Amino acid sequence: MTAALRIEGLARHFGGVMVTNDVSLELVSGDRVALIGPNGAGKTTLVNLISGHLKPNGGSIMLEGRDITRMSAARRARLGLARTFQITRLFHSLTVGQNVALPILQGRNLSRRLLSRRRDERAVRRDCEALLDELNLAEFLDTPVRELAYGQQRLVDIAIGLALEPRVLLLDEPAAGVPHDEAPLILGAIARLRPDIAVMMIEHDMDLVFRFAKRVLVLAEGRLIFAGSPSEVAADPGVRRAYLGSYAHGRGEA
Amino acid sequence: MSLAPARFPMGLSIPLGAELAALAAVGLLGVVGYVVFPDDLAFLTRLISITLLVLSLDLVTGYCGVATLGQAALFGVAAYAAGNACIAGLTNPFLLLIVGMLAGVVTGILSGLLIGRFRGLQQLVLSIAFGELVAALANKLTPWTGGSDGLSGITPAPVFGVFDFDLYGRTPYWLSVGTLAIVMAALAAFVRSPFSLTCEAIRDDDLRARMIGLAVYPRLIAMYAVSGAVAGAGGALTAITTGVVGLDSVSFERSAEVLVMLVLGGAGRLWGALMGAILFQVFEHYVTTSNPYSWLALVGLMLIAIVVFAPGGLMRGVDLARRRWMRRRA
Repeated sequence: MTAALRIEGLARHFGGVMVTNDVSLELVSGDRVALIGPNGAGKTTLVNLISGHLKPNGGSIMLEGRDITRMSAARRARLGLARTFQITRLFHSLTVGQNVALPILQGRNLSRRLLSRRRDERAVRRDCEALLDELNLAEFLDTPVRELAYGQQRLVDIAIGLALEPRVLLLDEPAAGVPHDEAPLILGAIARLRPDIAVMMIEHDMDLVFRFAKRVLVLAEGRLIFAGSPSEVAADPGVRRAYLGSYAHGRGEA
Repeated sequence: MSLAPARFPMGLSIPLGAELAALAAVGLLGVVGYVVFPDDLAFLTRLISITLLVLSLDLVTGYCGVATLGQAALFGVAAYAAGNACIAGLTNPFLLLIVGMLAGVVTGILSGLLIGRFRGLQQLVLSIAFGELVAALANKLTPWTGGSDGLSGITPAPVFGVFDFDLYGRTPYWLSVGTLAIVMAALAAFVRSPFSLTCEAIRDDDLRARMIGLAVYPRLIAMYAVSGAVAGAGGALTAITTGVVGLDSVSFERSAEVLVMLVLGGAGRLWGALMGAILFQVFEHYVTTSNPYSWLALVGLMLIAIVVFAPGGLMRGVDLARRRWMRRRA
């Protein structure tokens, strides 16, 4: 079977610092992978390299057997690679429905139409409603997105990712900054992701990692240092050292 | 109803509601102008061609977030193109409008190709450079522009072969009102299209737009082409209705002035652009005649008041007032 996403020898440096150092990994359809690691390990950089926001200095990225290493971010998205952002990025002057309608229009090749057709409008609106309903956001369809609570905005961010009907979904700390009482909403949304999507999530909250992931990848100083099941990761002394080491290091600098 | 922001996907709405409302509203404004200012039809005619330029600016600045101080280039090139076509013997006013719109589209695409790659300050500076380049060319290419003397001798044939461009200025006025009404109706449909929605997404966050698969640069160029058609209609109207085209139609001052009108009315809204253009020019017209020495200062004070008290422009203020009123009724 072709891997949904295969990365080989990916490298990126900023100045002399190797932020991504020879990273290779593979996601298959239906994968639920957590990417963890201490602060500054290069997790977001890795996601930025995969999504095309950053260009790598070396290595290759294959999406379902197709080399996307040199493609623009927009083309990667059209081929089925979606991501969310650590800090929510939404189309803030638009309504929730419009935020979700955009990727739906894009996916159906309607986004170039210079005139709106009522038939399309109704179909897109219905699909927006269905998707938002799954995330308990249906009542906000016509609400400007900036009027939502932060936790709900994170959900809209995920909804945009889902509306693209991706093959691979990268979630960059989906629960970060979400108030405690709204976190279950995010968990529920992630639990209900379509089973055939390959999902990789960056997360600090080990509780969430345990609930979500079948596999855990640990990144430290730009390298993948461990891969295994959540319980193996928790027990591994090397992973502990990486976390403790970085904390000790951080304290030493301060 | 028609003033509510038209949103895709809208759900229940009246078919062609926004478009018919635009036609009716502009027609009504035309009648009001005709009744209230019967002796100022030349001023109102000029006002309408500038209003088209403000609408065209709204498409790139309001809907796409492109910072530009060179929009007059699209207007001026179209005015010169229509003027030259007329002098060369193509005198049908409708064909001249089409010539102007095509010239506007070409200039718009060139402008978009140049400044669409950049954002923020670089974009602003490039737009000024583009505008200055076109202005310099207009000054030098005297065979086609008349240089600083302007291009004159533009005498279009009667509209429909019947209505002459007479001294009373009724024909140019109603031709302009009709053009504006049709453009407004077409734009009312256009701004709620999927394409326009993607432009608004690019304006809000172009990186995020890329991440949902939207190619930003081609879309900006496409929007510039539409914008050029609208600005071109305005430029062609000036040439047709006044019979002359001067360097002022490509000037930096023209570009800056229409940006002020757009901010005044509310960028990102068709009705904002329309109201801003009308109010600014009517205000300017009256203040210059009643107080020729300090009119610019009064315009400045008005702008400061708008930016301080209604930062989103006049249309935003209208929206807020309507919301408050609806909440009180509920």
